[in-house]
Amino acid sequence: MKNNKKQKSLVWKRLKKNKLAVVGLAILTIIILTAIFSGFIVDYEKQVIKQNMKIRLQPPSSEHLLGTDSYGRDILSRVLYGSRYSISLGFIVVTFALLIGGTIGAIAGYFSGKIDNVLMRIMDIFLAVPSVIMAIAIVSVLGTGFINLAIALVISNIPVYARLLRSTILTVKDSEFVEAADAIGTSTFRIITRHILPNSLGPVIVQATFSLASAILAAAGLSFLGIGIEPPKPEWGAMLTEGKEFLRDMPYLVIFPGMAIAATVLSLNLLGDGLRDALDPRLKK
Amino acid sequence: MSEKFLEIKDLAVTYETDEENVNAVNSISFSLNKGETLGIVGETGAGKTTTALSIMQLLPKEVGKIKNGSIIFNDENLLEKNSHYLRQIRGEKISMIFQDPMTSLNPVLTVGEQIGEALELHNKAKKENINQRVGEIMELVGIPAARKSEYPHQFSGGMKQRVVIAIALACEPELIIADEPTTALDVTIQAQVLDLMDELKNTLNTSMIMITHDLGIVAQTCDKVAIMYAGEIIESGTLEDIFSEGNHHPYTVGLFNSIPKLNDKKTRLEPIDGLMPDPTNLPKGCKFHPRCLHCMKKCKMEEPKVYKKGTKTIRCHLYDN
Repeated sequence: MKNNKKQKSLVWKRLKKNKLAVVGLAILTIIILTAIFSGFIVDYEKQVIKQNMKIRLQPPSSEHLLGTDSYGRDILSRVLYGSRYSISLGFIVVTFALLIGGTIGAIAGYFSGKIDNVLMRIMDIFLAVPSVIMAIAIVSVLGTGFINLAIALVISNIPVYARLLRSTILTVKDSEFVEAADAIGTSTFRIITRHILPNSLGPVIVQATFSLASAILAAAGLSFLGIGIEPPKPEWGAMLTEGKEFLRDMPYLVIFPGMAIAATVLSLNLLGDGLRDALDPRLKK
Repeated sequence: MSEKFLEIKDLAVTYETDEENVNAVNSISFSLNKGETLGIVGETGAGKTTTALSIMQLLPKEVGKIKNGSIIFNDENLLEKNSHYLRQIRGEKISMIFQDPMTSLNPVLTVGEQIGEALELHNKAKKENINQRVGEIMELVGIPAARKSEYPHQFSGGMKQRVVIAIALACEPELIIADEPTTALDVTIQAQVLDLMDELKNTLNTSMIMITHDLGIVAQTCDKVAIMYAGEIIESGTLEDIFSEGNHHPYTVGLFNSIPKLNDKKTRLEPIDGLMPDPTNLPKGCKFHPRCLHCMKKCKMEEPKVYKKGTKTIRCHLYDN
């Protein structure tokens, strides 16, 4: 365990040297903290969903820093509160897609042969359908809502991880150190979890940060299309839909939620790149 | 200390692929006593590594098939055992030193973790003691114990091979199979590693199978020698049997002639002409006959029988009674 800590601090040291990654991490931290504490910062009932037609469509002012929307709701409060949906959805999607898809890919890659063929052909079927279409189909069957949206995104992400893990495991499993581990009597489960997986982790982490970003984008996109999180919940994509009618006169209705989406995705991409460099043992100094 | 504890009888291994069957090992037999070192010598592709892997039962799945024979280890036929039992044997009773130390260590685990893994798997030490034991083993093979939390890429080639040896020794196995342990190392490190292995073998009284194509290494470390050609043992005996004058298989003679000698003034070495036969399509009769200087009519027709004299066996028609 001591060694484990040491490795983590090494990765951290190398990550710190990468300025862009640190910026990404800082932005992401702020967004995650906002997501966690948004319930305390703003009052959901009074500030986020309470309509006040008297003050609708106001430009930014000292009272409403980012202005108000077509129902007179404070945009800042809504953007802050909206981080909840995006961040939690992103993490849930990536976690489950990684667990399920990763397991399928690991089994297919390690055992190969018939199991591999059956599993990967099933994954191919999923991959053959564009992920947004797939998500639309699933949501239209299950109905809209946070959990159904998450299920749709998880299912469309599973094949990505299955393929990724299968291919990295295929390259690692024939390494001599795997044979050497076999030669000292290591069990199959342990070979996969202790010897093969850690060596396949680099691409997985990079993929995870990128698909975290793309899951957030997809969630926003689906909400924009009206099949994600339903109003009046302040999901960023849904806010874009509401604002698009006033795009010409009141562009800040879409600018601020749009910036929130862009900042989140950008921070994840910067961090992902930095992590990949920091985790690559070949770049060790 | 001279009981037979490993005996291999009529072992035959074939690699079956969709296109062809490769007869890598064709009916070989040998035995090993406690504390002895057997050297298996042969050209590349002679079936040395395949023999080693079949003792460990680590032949490539799906492809490598043991067709015939038995591998008796401590009175038990390893070929009849299930994978769970074999897993307990591997590492604890029999362990293997791999050819290339550069690739046989896991790059994401520290060397200490890798040495400790065998101990952990076979419950050789309590969790608290593993760390201390790992330190001891590392000192034994000449690596400062302080380096145990370093990663393989921080070690030089010779040091890595020491780590590989340390992993093989961790559980004090009864048999070590060393598959060309020095091929990837330069000559100065070679000598160090061989000395080290010799020393450890003596202190721990383990038996060893030394697989190599270097007769110099055999002379330095082995008690018994088996010379393999095209998946067969064509000559075997004690170290003196092989290295002293007397009757030898023409292939053995050829091998010795291809080594440079200090006191011979020769401008050219005498290599054995030709190549090893294609294992998918072995020649009829004696497998060496296309390259043999003493080839007779008989050699092309029938397989030679094993000719025995004392501790020595030769598989050649030249010595038919």
